[in-house]
Parts: sequence; C-alpha cells; structure tokens
Amino acid sequence: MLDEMRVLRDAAQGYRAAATAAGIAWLERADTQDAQPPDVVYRLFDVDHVPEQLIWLESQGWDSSRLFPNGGDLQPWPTDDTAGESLNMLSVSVGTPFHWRHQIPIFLFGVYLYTFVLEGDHEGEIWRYLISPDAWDPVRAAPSLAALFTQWTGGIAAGVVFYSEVSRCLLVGDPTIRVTFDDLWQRAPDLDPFAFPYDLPEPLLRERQRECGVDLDCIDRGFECWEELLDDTLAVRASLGV
Amino acid sequence: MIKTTKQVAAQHNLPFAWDKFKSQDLKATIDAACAVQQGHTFPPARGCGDNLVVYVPGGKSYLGGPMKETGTHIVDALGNGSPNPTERSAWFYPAFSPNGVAATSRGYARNWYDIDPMFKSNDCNPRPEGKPVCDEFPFFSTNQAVNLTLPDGSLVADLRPVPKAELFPQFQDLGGFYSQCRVHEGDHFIVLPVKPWVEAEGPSFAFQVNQGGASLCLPPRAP
Repeated sequence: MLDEMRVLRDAAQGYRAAATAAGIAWLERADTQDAQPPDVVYRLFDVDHVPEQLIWLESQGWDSSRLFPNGGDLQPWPTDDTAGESLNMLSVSVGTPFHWRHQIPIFLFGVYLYTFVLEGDHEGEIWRYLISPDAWDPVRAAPSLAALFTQWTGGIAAGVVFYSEVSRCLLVGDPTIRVTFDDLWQRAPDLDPFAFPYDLPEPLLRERQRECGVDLDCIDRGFECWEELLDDTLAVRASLGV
Repeated sequence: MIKTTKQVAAQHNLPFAWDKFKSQDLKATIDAACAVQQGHTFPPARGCGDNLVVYVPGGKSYLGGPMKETGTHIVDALGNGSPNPTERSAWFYPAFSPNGVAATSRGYARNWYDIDPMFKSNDCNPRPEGKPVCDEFPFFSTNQAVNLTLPDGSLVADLRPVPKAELFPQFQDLGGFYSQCRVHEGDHFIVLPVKPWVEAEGPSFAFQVNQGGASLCLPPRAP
C-alpha cells in the first residue's frame, strides 16, 4: 500500500521525535540528497517508475547513521559501484508472492533485511528477510512505510525498543534481562512484532507467511529453492554487468 | 588441498604459491584439526577419519564476493592453526545446527551480541564507522554458537566488526557449503584456517575426504 504523503511524513516525524527523545543523535544533514533515483535503480529492479514515498524517504539524508531499531540503517540508492551488492541482497528473498527483482533494499538490521516493494499488488509493502546461510523467512513486515514507522514509534513508547549506551543505538528487547518472545510482546499487545527486526517463533511466522501469500512449498524445499534464486540473481548480475 | 589451491590460484590468476614454510604451517594446522576430529585436544597427528567434510574459508566467497575480513577473522579466531586458549581447538570441528536451533532453543537471539544483557560488553559494541556487521565465529548455525562450546558456557564465540559488503557473501558461502556438501543436521565438519590463502584473496572452497580420496564439493565459481 502506498501511503498518502502527509501520512508518511507525519509517521516518520513521529518516529524521529521518539527516537531522538530516547537518545538517538539524529542530526540534520547540511547537504540535501538528490531527490530522483539514479538510472541504475530502474535497471536493477526492472521497473519503469519509483513511488514518490520511497523517493521522499531516500531524499531525507537518513542513511548516514544507525537511526533505526537494532542499529538498522537506511540503505542509500544503489550506485554503479554498489549495484551488484544490492541485487546480491535480494538472494534471500525466496518464495515471495511478487517477482524478487521488484523490491529495493531499504533497511539493514544486521541479521534482517527489509525491502520496499516497487510495483504490483504488493506495491509499497515492506518485506523482511532473515540473513542466514540456511533459513530465510520471508514475510511482510508492514503494509506500508508509514505503518512501519508508526509501529517503531509505538515500540519506543511501550519500552520494547530502548536506547543502549553501549551500542549507541536503539535495541529491541529488555535492557536488563534476557526475555522470551512472549514475555516481550505481552508488554506491547497492540504492536505487531513483525515490524521489528526481532526473531519470530516459527508457528506465528508460518501463519503470517500463509496470509501474505508466501510460497511455503519453496520454503520447505529450502536450499533447492534458495539456489534457484541465487542462480537467478547471478544471471541477472551477469546480464547487467554488475 | 595443495593441488586444489594451485588449480584455483591458476584459474583465478592469484598471487599465491606454496613454499616450505606455508606447507609446514598447513600440515601443522591439518594435524591440529584432525586431532580434534579424533577426539583429542592436541597433536601429534593421528590422521583424520574417513567421510570428512572440510570447509576452507577464503578472502572471497566461493562465488567471488568480498569476505577478506571475515576470512581473516576465522583464521585469527582459530589462532592461525594454533588456537589460543587451547579450548578453542574445538572450533576446528563444529556440527551443523540448522537455523541456529542449538542457540535459539536455549533462548539466544540471532543478534545476541547486541541485545543479550549477559554479553553486553564485547568487540562489536559499538561498531566502528564503516563496519556495521558483527561477524561471529563459531557460526551461529552450529552447536558452538554463542557460548555453547563448553558445558559451563565459559568459551564465548569470537566477535569482530566487518564491512557491510561482506555480509551477504559470507552467508552465501556458508549456505553453499551446507547445501552442496550435503551437510545435514548434527553433521560435524572441519573448518581449516589457511592464512596465506585468505591474504591472497583466494575463494572459499570445501572438499570431502573418503576412502576413495578427496573431491571438491564446493568448488569456487569461475571468475
């Protein structure tokens, strides 16, 4: 879903205010970013348009530090130099109900990648993937960018996202004790854990994957399905020369 | 091992050659790894058993992606073949734990080094500029993840911040290894650190050893 721009700006501003109040040093960038995506974006992701919501996000200059939960950072527009790496990231997107190329990496959280879907029935949705050698767990993280920011803002308010002086970033969890999934999310029953870069229990994950149209047969085929996608990404990289 | 690296070095046009010292180091490392595989902590060499799978991390992934700092980290964590402390020698011979279940079933998160209050102070906190990825060895997908190597939890995985560009290549490398070398849940494998290979940015590879000899199960892709 593509947000109304006013809704997106408000949601992002709300998150920024909450993150800053929690302890994040969110500096204004003196230079402004080029608002328009570079040509390489259209070539890499095989699309003829890029939603204005994404263009707006990328123009904010928020890609310079770890402003998002679990030290996540906004991925800048790919360049000719990073084009191969961008496609490489998509090699984790097994079993999605949309073509793997029609999404762009936007947030990287260490062991989770979030993407923005660029076209089709899922346009504007945010999808999440585990970065792992043997499990990928594709699932929708949020129906839109604004919904994602709203969830994160709620996470700070509910105390399930906190600022760590040691890591110098926002973390999802409890600062004092190790907590289970249930322990943590019972503290914030109105929030959707899928929006947060946090490990999900398999039964819950499978249920949501089913709802989102993930190809569960592909997930069950495991390495075989992943290697097909990996070969696809390598073939596209070779054909584009990136 | 030497034959394979020579072939790969020639194919990839790498500035790599074995000399007497490198060969001696390699032999010592293999002896140390085989000793662990045979259930001992130290050499002398007792030879490795049959039906072995050996993963050799490189300075590039088997697909050619960058992973020099990751490969160097593995080599360093294994003391370049002479683990220090000696308890680390167990890290030569982990067992595959799909989806990291050995660690997650004990309540450890995948980003334990960031969020677990028990491990708050570590080499990945905070990460320096340009190295946002926390690399861990032993791998999370093994029975030695986090602090599982010793029953008392006293040996914690080694951590090192590495560049973002190495994140996906390292997972593709390991995934390719598990998949192509048919490593199944609970299967042990040897991690063989070869410092000059990583330094020369040789690609990762893996081979199987059985009674018929050795064969590549994870061949590096042609450049």
